[in-house]
Amino acid sequence: MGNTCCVAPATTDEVGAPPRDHHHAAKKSPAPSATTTTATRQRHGQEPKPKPKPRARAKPNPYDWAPPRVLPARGGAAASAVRVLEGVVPHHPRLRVTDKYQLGRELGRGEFGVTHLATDRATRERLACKSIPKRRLRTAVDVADVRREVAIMASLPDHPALVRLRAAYEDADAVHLVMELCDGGELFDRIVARGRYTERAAAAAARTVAEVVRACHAHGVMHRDLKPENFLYAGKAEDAQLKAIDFGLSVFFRPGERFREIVGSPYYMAPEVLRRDYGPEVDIWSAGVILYILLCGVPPFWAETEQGVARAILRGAADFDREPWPRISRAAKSLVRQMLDVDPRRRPTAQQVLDHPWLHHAARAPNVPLGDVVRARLKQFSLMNRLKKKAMRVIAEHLSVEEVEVIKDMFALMDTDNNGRVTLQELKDGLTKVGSKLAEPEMELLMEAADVDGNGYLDYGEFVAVTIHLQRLSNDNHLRTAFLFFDKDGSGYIDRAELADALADDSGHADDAVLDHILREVDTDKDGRISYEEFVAMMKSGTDWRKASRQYSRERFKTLSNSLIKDGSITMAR
Amino acid sequence: MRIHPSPATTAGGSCGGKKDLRRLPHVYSKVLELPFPADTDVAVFEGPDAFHFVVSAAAALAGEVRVRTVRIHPGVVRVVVQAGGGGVHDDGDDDDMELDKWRSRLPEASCPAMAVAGYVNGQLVVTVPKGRGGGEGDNDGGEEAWRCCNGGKISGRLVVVQ
Repeated sequence: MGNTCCVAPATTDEVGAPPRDHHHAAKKSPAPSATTTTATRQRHGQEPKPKPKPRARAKPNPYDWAPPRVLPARGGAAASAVRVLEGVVPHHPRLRVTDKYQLGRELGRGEFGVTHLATDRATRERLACKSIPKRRLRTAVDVADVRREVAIMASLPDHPALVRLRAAYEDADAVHLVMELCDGGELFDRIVARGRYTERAAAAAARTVAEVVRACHAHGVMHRDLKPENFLYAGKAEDAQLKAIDFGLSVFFRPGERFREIVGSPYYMAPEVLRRDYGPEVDIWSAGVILYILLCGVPPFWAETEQGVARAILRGAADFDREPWPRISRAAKSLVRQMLDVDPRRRPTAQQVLDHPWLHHAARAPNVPLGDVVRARLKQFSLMNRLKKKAMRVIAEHLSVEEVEVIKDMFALMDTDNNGRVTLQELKDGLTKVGSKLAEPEMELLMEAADVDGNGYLDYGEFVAVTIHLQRLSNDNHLRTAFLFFDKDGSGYIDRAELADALADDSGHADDAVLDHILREVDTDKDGRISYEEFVAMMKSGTDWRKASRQYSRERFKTLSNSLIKDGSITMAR
Repeated sequence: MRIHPSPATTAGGSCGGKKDLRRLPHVYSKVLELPFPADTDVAVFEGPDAFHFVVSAAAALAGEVRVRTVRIHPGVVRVVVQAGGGGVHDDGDDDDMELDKWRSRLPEASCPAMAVAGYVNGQLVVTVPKGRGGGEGDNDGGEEAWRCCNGGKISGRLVVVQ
């Protein structure tokens, strides 16, 4: 506790100095530290083998090498000489990170260090401790980077989107940075898992990224390494706070200052970095790359090799023609294009990004991925047999949290009276609200196709089934799970009894004609049961136009029958 | 400018979906890459005229070593030390952007194109000379592969850096 209080004032004083002076100081002081650090490492690691040899001083040969002589002196002077954080945080010779924090399991591993769970011994608060071994600080440049990272993290304000540095320690072997715990995983991992985001979810993440850029720039910090790997979720919930966690390549800057050092990451680096003449606008470009990836799943500037990536970045021609870009809103595309302008002077500032209509009204961004392909798939869906539709519902129960989220949002959007069912009118209103291009006859087709039990409403399960079909979310794992659901006895086949079981309605009865129809259609080898291969073929088959008319008529007949029964029921009740 | 052959796993140019989003190592103007895992213990010594990177005998590989200069972009150079037999282009290209590899950013004052590698008393030593003016040393010379003898001192070849 006391140590934590001590850290802030010292670093504040550090920040008070002009950034240029700080940068200059960083360049000077690390050099002797780095040399001594590596010398110390050498002393520990191997025996020195001096090779004195006379040589003409006028022509030193840089390629001749022998281990340097190591001074035998040890003590306070030597210890202080190896300090990486000299002048950045106050030095307490006997204070160790493990005095205050209990280090636990490994949380992650990065390019420079390993991060462990850290528990405050007094308060039991859970934090994260990133340890950077000094042997990974190979040159003066690496040392300067760590010093600057600590100074920057200490200078940034408390902000929900910035991970907070609680304390910094240094011992003989490593620098330890104790930070807020973010155990919800990386943005990178969620992108890879989802493939791509809905516009609303992408807008929420992009807003956080833009807010990070705004906060950094407002405090004279250029990040220079924005990428999905450098953002962590504070928790596992879908709406957990997203935070920037790594400032290893960040630098203090003053308005108008130009930089020429090439640092960054492939895919995300701005073209002017490669041209060695840049300012803070490089962070807007990186944020634009992240947004492009969120919306379509792949980076805009991509190649097999680093050379190819560099050339693609310099060309700056992002592809907005390939699927799914035609189905993404005009406002979203407009923002991405502006952020990926190769001319940094035309790029928006972080505040302008936040003020852009698409981001400013993020809650109104479409969260329903309906598009032009919906019509064809709806027709296909209506012609499906009931086993296939039932299988869709089984698959729905095994969707990942992210996959369910979108469908749940769609259902909640349409179920305006919140009774757990969607009527045709609610469906029409909902589709209109999200800007769907479906005409009314198509909406009625959607209702008719999805309403498997024919009760005039869509319950959540029915809604999920048709949505899965529209999105083609089925994959082999889902198919196997669905098949095993029907194959109760694990024989490897769905026999007639299991089929009847699966398709039984509320009265516990399955129509023999329906069973016969499905078996006739799916059981292609006519052995009286459905194998896994036949099941997969059914699930993946498209419309057979030769059967389309007949099957459609059957579905309509069934629906009409249900309506007539209801009318009859009403009459009888009277 | 070198064009590396495409890895077989991905179709060139076309996007393969999620596979295209990968974790990649950082880009710096000057990088030294050794054929060892990222956490290998490598000692770094700075002399008046050069930086020396020393890998202990236990970790170092046997056999001939070569130094290859990869120019990513004007001003972006990677010095790749390759070990073992095989053709010049065979063993390095497949993992061009592999993440778990020993890499070190080189200071601006270094001349990576002049780097040499060889064995001294059983240890692998990579020497990267410093430049005088701090200019872009990577522009000097071509993409030579420097060859060194085993087990002895590095060749006494003297290079005048201007």
